[in-house]
Formats: sequence, C-alpha cells, structure tokens
Amino acid sequence: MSSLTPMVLDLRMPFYPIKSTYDKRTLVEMQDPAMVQAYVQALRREAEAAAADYADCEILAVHIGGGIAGHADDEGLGQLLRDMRRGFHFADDAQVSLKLHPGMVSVETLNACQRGRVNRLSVDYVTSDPFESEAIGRFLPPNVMETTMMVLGNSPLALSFDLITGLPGQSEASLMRTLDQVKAYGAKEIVLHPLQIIPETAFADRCREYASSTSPRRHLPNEKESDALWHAAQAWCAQEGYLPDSPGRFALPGWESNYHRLMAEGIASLGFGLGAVTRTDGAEAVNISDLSSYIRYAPDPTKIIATVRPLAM
Amino acid sequence: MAKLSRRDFLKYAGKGAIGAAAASMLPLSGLAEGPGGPGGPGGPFGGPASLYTPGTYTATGTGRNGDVTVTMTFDENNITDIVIDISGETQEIVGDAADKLTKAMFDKQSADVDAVTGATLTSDGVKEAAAKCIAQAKGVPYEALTGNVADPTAITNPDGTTTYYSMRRSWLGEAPQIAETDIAGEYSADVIVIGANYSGAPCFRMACEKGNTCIVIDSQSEETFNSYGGELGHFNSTWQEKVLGVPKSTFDPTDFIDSWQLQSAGRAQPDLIRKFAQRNGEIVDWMFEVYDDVAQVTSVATIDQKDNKYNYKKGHFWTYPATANLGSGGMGSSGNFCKAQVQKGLEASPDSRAFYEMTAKVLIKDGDTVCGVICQDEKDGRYYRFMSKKAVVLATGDFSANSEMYSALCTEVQECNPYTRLTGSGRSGYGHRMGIWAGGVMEIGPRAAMGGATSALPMGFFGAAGGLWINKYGKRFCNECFGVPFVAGCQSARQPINSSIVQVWDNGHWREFAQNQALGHFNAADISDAKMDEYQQKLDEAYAAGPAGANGVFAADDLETLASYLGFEGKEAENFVEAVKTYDSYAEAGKDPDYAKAPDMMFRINEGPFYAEKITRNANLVLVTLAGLFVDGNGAVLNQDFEPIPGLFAVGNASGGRFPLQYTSPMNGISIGMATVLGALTGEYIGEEAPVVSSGDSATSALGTK
Repeated sequence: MSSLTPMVLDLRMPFYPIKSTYDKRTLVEMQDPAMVQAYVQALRREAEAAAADYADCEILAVHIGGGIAGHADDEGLGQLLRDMRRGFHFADDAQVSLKLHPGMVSVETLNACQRGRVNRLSVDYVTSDPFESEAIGRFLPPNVMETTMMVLGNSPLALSFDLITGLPGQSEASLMRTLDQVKAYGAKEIVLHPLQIIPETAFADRCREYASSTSPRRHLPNEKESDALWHAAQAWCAQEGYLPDSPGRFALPGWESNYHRLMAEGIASLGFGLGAVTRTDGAEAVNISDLSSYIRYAPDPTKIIATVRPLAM
Repeated sequence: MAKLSRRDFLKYAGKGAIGAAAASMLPLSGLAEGPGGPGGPGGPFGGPASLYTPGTYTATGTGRNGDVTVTMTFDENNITDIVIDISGETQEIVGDAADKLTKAMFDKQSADVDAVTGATLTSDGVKEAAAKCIAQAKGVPYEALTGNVADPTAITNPDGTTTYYSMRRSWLGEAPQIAETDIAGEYSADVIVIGANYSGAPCFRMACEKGNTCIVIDSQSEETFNSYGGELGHFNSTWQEKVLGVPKSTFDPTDFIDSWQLQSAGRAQPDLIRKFAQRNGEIVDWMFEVYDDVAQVTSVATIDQKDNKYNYKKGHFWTYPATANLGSGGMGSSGNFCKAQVQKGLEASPDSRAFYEMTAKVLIKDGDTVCGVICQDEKDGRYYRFMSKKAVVLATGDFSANSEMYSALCTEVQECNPYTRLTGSGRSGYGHRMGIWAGGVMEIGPRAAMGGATSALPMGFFGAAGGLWINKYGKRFCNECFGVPFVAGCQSARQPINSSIVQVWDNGHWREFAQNQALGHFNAADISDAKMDEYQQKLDEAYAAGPAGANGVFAADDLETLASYLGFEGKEAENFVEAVKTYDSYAEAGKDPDYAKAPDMMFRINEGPFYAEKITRNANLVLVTLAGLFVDGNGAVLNQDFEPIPGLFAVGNASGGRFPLQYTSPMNGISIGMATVLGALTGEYIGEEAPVVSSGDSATSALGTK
C-alpha cells in the first residue's frame, strides 16, 4: 500500500465561449486570447508554487473544468498538464478528466490531452433536441457533436455526457431520443442535472416569456412533470446498464468518475484557479474570483485565497 | 517569524487562529524566486512562467497636443516603476494629471484606470502608451491585448518599400529565438517533411521511393497516432472499379478541371488542379498498396450502380462517387493508413527516419533558402536541428483552432457571422506562421473554410441537400444547387443573422429528391432504399408529433398548417405558401426563371403530407480551414514577390491553391483526396526534379537561432 496521502486535483478553467444564459458560476467570457493564455500561465505558477508542499501526496484523479476547458488555450493547457505530472506524484492509473463543449474540440485539444495523458472527456451536451437547445440559449446546436465525434475518431478517451432534464419543450419522447443519442456516441457515463432556473440570468428572463407562450416548444415543465422526466431518465439508465455511482451520475460498470466518487468520500483535494476549492489538512480554502488579481498573484496563496475555514472532523 | 508554505498557511488559517486577511500579513516561503520558481530553470515546471518579461519599456500615445510618453519598469509579476512625460501638453489644463495617473496605474497595476477630470485626452494618451508598455512586457501584440486592431496594415520594408496588407496580422507573432546552446543534436536528410498525416505521409513515402533520404516529423505519439476524417475522395482508381463497379474510364479529367475552376471562379492553382485531375486515380492505386486487399476497403457513398443509372452530372457540375474509408480494409484507422505510408517509405529508404512526439518550432534559413527546421522533443523538452539539402515540406495542417487567425484570414466566414468567435476542429496554424516567418505569404483571398456559415447548412435531415430553401420572410431566395453543397450555400449565409433557413419537401417526391442529390461533401452518403426506409420512420414520427415536430422536422397535410408549425404568420405565411407553389410549378415546367436552378435538380412539392425543417447557420461546425500558403504548381511556397522560396514547400491544408473561394466538394473526402494525392506528387517533384539547395550542414546565419 502506498505511503503517500491520496488526493485529487481540481483545475479551474472558467472560460465560456460566450456568456452563459443559465449559469452564474465564476465564468469568464473567452474573448481575449491573451488573457486566457495569461490565466493558464497563472495556473502554472500557482501549481508550481504548491507542488513541493504536497510531495507526500499521490494524485488519484484530476478534474479540469469549472467552465469549458477544451479549446480555451490548448497549447498552454497541454503544457500545464504535462508539467503537473512532473511536479506532482500521479498514480499510474490516475483518471484525468477534461470538460469540453460540443463543437469546441480541435485536433490541438486532443494533442493537449495526449500531452497531459487526459483519459476522460466530460461533454457539456445538455440535449440532442435543437429546439430545447435553442430554448435554453445554447450558442451551438446539438448536431455539432457530430463534428466532435469526427475529431475524436478512434480516440481512446472515455466520454461522459452532462444532460439537463426539465428543459423547456422537453417531453419524455425527446428526452429518450437524447439518451439514445448519447448512448450511440459511446457514453460511458451520463450525468443528469435537473433544470435550475437561477435568478438574474438571461435564461430566467426567457422563462418569464415562456410562461405566457402557447407553443409546446416553449412549455416549461412544472414540478411534477420535471420529476417525471427525471425518473424516466433514471429508469432508462437502469435499463441500459448505467448504474448510479453518485447523485445524478450513472455509469457503465468500471467507468465511474473516480474524481467525483473520491470527493464524495471526502478525499483531500487541491484546487487551482479562479474560485477553486482546496480541502486539505483540516481546512477548506476558496480562491478569489477576480481574474486580474488571480493572474497577478497566482503563486501567493495569501493573496489568492479568499476564505479559509476549518473542516468539521 | 518563520516563513509559511501554502500548506502551512492553510493549516494555520484553518485552525481559526487568525483570519485569512491577517494570515496574509505573514511572509511565505516557496514562492517563485527567479524565473524558474522553486525548481529553478531546471525544475519540473520547465522554466519561466511569469506575467512579464522583466525590464523597462517605453511607448507613446496620442494626447491632446501630440504624443505623450510612458516608461514602465517590470519585474516578473509587477509594475515597479512608471514615468510619464506629458511635457508637450498644456500644463494649465493637465495640472497634476501625470502624478495622479502614475499613482492610479501603480496601485491598480494596470493601464485601465479612470481618466483625470479635465484632462481626458491627455489621460487617454497616457493610458494608451501604458497599455503598449504592458503589451511589450507581456510579449503580446498591443492589438491582441486591447482589442484595438489596426486595419489596414502597412509595413515598411528594409529596402524602403512599403507592403500593404488588407487583413490583420496580429496572429502572426514573431518567430521564436532558440539559443544555439539549447540545441541538443542535429540530423540531416535530403528532404524534411513536417507532419506525418494525410499530406505528409505520402509525400515522405514518395520522396523516399524516388531515392532520397528523408525525415518525417510529427508532434503526435506513434502509439496513439490519430487522424480524423478518413474519407478519401477521388476518381478513376482501381478501387473505384473493383468496389463500386464504376469503370476507370468513366470520368474525364477535363470535366473535373472545368467544374472545379467554374466553382472557383478561376482562382484555383491551375497546375495543382490539373495534376490532381490527371493523376489522382494512379496515385490512389499507389497509396492503396498498403492494403492487403483493396476490395475490402469500404465505400462512403452507397450508389445503386444497377444498369449504371446514376447520373454523376448534377445541374451544371460533375460529382463523383468514389470515396473510400481509409480506416477500413483491415487498416483499423485512418491514422494507421498514414503510418503505413510512412512505413513504406522507410522500407524503400533505410537511411530515412520518422520522429514522433517532435514539434517543429522554427524554420532555418541560409540567406533566402530554407535549409532546415528546429524542433522540440515533446518527451524531454530538448531542441534538435534537422537540416535539409533539397526541401522542407510543411504538412502541418490548418488553422481553424486559432480563432484570431481564422477570423483574420477567412473574411467571408467571419463577415457572415459578425457575432461569432470563429473556432474550428483542426490545427493551430503554426505551420503557416513558420512559413510566413520564413518569407512566405498566404494565398490570395478570399480564403475558405470547410463549411461554416458560408453554407449555412450544417447537416440537415438529408445532409446538405439543395431542395427548396425559404427565408424568414417566407420567400425563396437563391438557386439552391448552384455548385456543390458548400458553394450553393453561400446565399443562405447572407440571410438575416437571427433566422433559420427552412427546407421544404413533400411526401410524393422526397425519395427521388434524396436519392438524386449531388455526391458532394455532407450530402447523405447512404442513399440506399433501406436508408430511405429509416428516413420514412423519422418522417412518420414528425407527422405524428403535430405542431411539436420531431427529429427537427415538422409535417402537416397542407402548406398553411405547415407554415403555422414553422412559426410563419400573416404575410410571411402567405409568402411561404406561394413560394412552395411557385417552386413546384417551376419544377413541373422544368425551368427556373427566377434563379436558373438546373431542371434535373428540381423536384416537385405537391403531394402531402408536406415536410419542413429549420436549419440554422453554424460557423463553428467547421472541421478545418482550407486556406494555405501561396504556392506554385509544384507546391513551392511563394514569397511576397510571388517567387518560389528555395527549399520550402507546402502540402495539404498548409498549402493554398486548392479551395480559393469555398469548399468545392464534388465528392465526400475531396480535401483528403487532394491532400494525399498532391502530397505524393509534391514528393515526386522534390524527389525527381527539385535541385539541391543546401549542404545539409548547420547554417552559420540562421533564422530563429542565436
């Protein structure tokens, strides 16, 4: 048994191609390539400064997300991941997962994955239905996944798909088509998110308009209907062999997300980047959310850690 | 007080002994000291990762009366000194603006500060100059940092002449400088091919088989080598005969050349197109030697060849059925196909070598001649020099993953999508940049991408079929079959941004419509009767779904109801019904007086149920960009005077001359077809005819080294 302390890493890539209509997390619109590159370099500095502190730890899983990691700065990300493997002790079978958006995967993204030995892709798919996708305000239609699948080709990367149930206009039939589609894409894991309308988002404004629409394509499922959709999706997963491994997550046996499982078990975690969370040695620290400050002070935890609180034992 | 590490800081603060703010007063160890951080230059994180390049930088901005000057000094992560010279401004107006701006920028560590009240113009000039200093320290172009893009650009050349550019060039950057002391080793060959994919692999193989010593370099690992796409379009090969049953003599190369240049408005490189047309079948036969049995290589398109009834000429343009799946026939993947070409080359030329996980960084020049390339080993980060005697071939792929470059070069795609940050699925364009750093130029615009909003047709129900297209006003607007799908789609891209294109068909004629489209890229490859039965099932689902539609399709028994399902109201609904009926009358008459659509591409729409789909524009569906370096008919890269640069060639998506306007695609897979065939023919030219231009030893004065 290893004498090293098991740990997971969370790398925050908080970029989104355009401002999300339905998500209010610490997200940055991906407008300025120089700024994105500066952020990735800042991630390197933060990780570099921390690496020596955790030489007694073994990394079992890495989650790269918090936004859309793929296509933000593929070259920089590839360098960062390669360097992190040199700076930290990775388990031989460490699961490294990258969040991406359909249509935003390039050959360079795959090259970055190769450099960093990423072995799992988490696809922010949401739905296969073009009407539902438009209703929530996604900036690319679902069929761009065809392009992504073409790019992935024979890639050995395991695919996990994030879906949303209870979308405007969603029916059980359309939800089943979405599930069938992701299975056809080779999904190893399906993550179900019940729709949440977050106040003060563009999507919340749209929902107010939808409430007065008579179009079935704009019908927002009520609580009972949403619940029924959720259970229908769960039943489909069970029928197709996707077993629950943590809340909302359903995976084919052997393809569970180690990162999420270990986090649920309370493993120590080290977070880098904007708004990242670290839980080690009895404390929970949250990084700042200001991009400029983070880029300036990345190696200095006293300046980039916004809050620290003791973890309950 | 003892210094705290990050981990200790967390322990200390987490125990609640002090708040995080107080903890921030404690000095820390383990911070980056020197350019390499705790590990130093040789540490695990591989070198400098600071925000700025330390030093002092000066720049000017435009103030009220003229230039103002700012000088800023930086360490790795901070602005440490600011000196503002606004002595040319009216002192009674600006007062102590310099002091105020200095303090504000120093405190904020940014040029983005409030202007001094009453001295706005001066403040703006100071901020502009400060931003330029910061850009210099960051090593990024000022335009990229601020979004202020200069257009047009005129650059004064060393000889005093001026070169005028119509596009932004901030994506170009500067060639990296690699110290001689960082070069860990050197290799030499007659030919260096950068990229072992569709264009590079056959180029390498052919040059080897012509008796040259060659080196091929690729950044991918050999074990996980991957290509995407994998469909090779061509005509008149043995494969076409054996697998499709279409004789080699079926297609006249002259027809291909004619169709191609018509759709390219004469802008394709004539000799490249000629070479492809005349020799593609022969070269495909040669490439397919890697298969144990060519007959086992499957076809993309399924065409019913019974009685040879399929008409390959659609409208005024020829289309072709021969598209092979490179990953089939026991090959396993298209990546394996490329590796097999490389292996063939190595067998023919035992002194030749393949280097994987090696990334090209900068070309080497001796005077005007390109004589090599410096590459970095992905495994250990060390640099190696590869010297060539005859040629360096850029087979480095496209630039669609480089949004800035894509936007600047593919102007039609960007202008059709003014609110879209263009992204694609391909490469970063680094090869193009290497070629331009070495003196090459991009092919003359407009420059193409594969798909994107110039077609406004991502895959619809029947692929990129050219049926009846109707805009948001309920009106038909163009010849839907002018040229192959991506050429025909240009008018769709010129419709209102926030709207969909509606395609309409009927129950009585949709099979005929679907099974007689041009065999172009993104059209349905499978037009078998069995596939039509699958479509029928989906159409039935759409009909059953009523106003909700299904599978992206709406269906109704009459046009008025269909119009309502699509969201047309009032006058637009009337227009829609009229447009369908008018189109149907033209199809019946066999003549399109409005837009001259070829009669054989028009199908009636008069038997319900009627079906329609909404297709939205999608610039970011692009697989790759198709614009490359300006080349001649031998693939030699041209300089600003349009003369060949000795020793430098480009193939595949690094090469121009193939798709000058749009993705001319008379069959699926023509891009890979051109890449492989022209890659091989360039290798043949280099192998047989290109002169030796260098000794193959290290140059004494070389681009990119110091």
